[in-house]
Amino acid sequence: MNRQMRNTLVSASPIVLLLLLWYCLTASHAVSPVFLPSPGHTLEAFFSLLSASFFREELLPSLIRICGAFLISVAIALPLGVLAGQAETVARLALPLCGFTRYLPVAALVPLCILWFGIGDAQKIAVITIGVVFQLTLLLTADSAAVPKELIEAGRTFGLSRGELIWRIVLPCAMPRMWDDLRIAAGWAWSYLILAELVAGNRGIGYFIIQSQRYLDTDQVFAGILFVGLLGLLTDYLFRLSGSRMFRWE
Amino acid sequence: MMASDVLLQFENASKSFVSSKGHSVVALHEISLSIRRGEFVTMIGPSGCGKSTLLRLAAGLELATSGNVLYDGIPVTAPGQERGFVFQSYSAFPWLTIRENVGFGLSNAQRGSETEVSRWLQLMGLDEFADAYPKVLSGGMRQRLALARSMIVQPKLLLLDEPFGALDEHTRENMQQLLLRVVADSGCTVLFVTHDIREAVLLGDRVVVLSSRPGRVLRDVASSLSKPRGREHIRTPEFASLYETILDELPE
Repeated sequence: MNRQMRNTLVSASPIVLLLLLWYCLTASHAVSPVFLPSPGHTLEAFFSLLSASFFREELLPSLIRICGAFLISVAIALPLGVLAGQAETVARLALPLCGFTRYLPVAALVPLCILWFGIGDAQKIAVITIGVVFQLTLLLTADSAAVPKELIEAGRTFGLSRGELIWRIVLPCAMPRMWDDLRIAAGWAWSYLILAELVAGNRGIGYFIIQSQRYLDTDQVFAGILFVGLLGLLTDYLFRLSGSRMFRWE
Repeated sequence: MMASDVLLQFENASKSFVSSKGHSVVALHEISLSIRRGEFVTMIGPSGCGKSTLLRLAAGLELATSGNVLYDGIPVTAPGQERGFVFQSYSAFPWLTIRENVGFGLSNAQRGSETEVSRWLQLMGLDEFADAYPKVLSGGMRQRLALARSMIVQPKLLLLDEPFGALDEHTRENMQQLLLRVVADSGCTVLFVTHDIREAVLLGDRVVVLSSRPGRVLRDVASSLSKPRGREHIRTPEFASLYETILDELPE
């Protein structure tokens, strides 16, 4: 057995063990399916999700919300972070606020968001944006500040203005790390989306999960969670793939 | 000496920094120095004597605390294309290809005509790597790239901060010859900082010796070596005597 195979086996063993435990618990009827559906039923429920109506009724609203909120977050955090990493005044203005707000528990802000924005898309977008934008700004600031000073000075010796330095040196130089931080932020966005939809729902994957729970369709709950997990994984993969395509110089 | 002969002039220029503990540290003390058009001036001094700071004042990357730095008779307030700079550390832009790096300082209109970029790539022996990224280049090649990137915009003054300090002996000698050739072709004025006496003597029309911190001009030696310079000069008695003079002047 070669090294790679052994490593794969080691990595897979806890997952297999967990699945096995799950199977044993349900097959022996030690736990009622209302609390824990069998792996088979979960899988069945998962495949039953893959239908046009589920995509239209639940997935599409969720996707619109997460994409909207993510775009808003990036539109705020990217310029702010890039500038804060390079200009001390911007850093002084923005960073203490971000440092404080990122410790506010987002879950506790959900009631406020409902009060202010109702229970529609605006509330979901607000929860995700609040959860993502402050932390993302801090990450992007660090990326911008990490651009080597020599490269900026090299640009200055060509008589570039501050705007040109940002556009021609800071942005392209920091972009690979920023892309990686956007990938991480996308993961947070999925969590906050589901949180917002669980609490105040009318359609969306989170709403589907909470509705299934209300009707004790626990296999559907499991399937919904699995679905979100796979979407997160897919997002991550797409970010990595596009990153490695775009930043060949790394 | 007519004023218009002078391209770069330091008039009692001093530079101090504020340390992290709030103390003021004097890096350069009342430097007065004139560099004429077309001169190749090398500058040598113990490490930490403010050689690099002096170059950065000329470039406009830093501003003098007191006194004046005049370029072409006008006080230096910011960097500009007419004053090229080659850094000690490798400063190639890693996200651009070698070709794009060389053309970085050209305006969009100039970049349209690829001929100038190609000429410099060929001159520097970088043409076969033109479309690769700088990560594949050796130390010597990176400094050739940096030299090409600075020279392509036709600076009137070229400032070099220990550009060959990190290179091995053989590569350094080749780079010295390449620099002399490029500078002679372009007719630009050079201020070259080094900590290597041999390099200072071999390259300079004048060798300026700085004291240890705070840097002051200790000695300004005109070279008696003939031009063009080559490795053969190293074995001449003039070289040996200049070398001795500089060595005696350098503080411990």
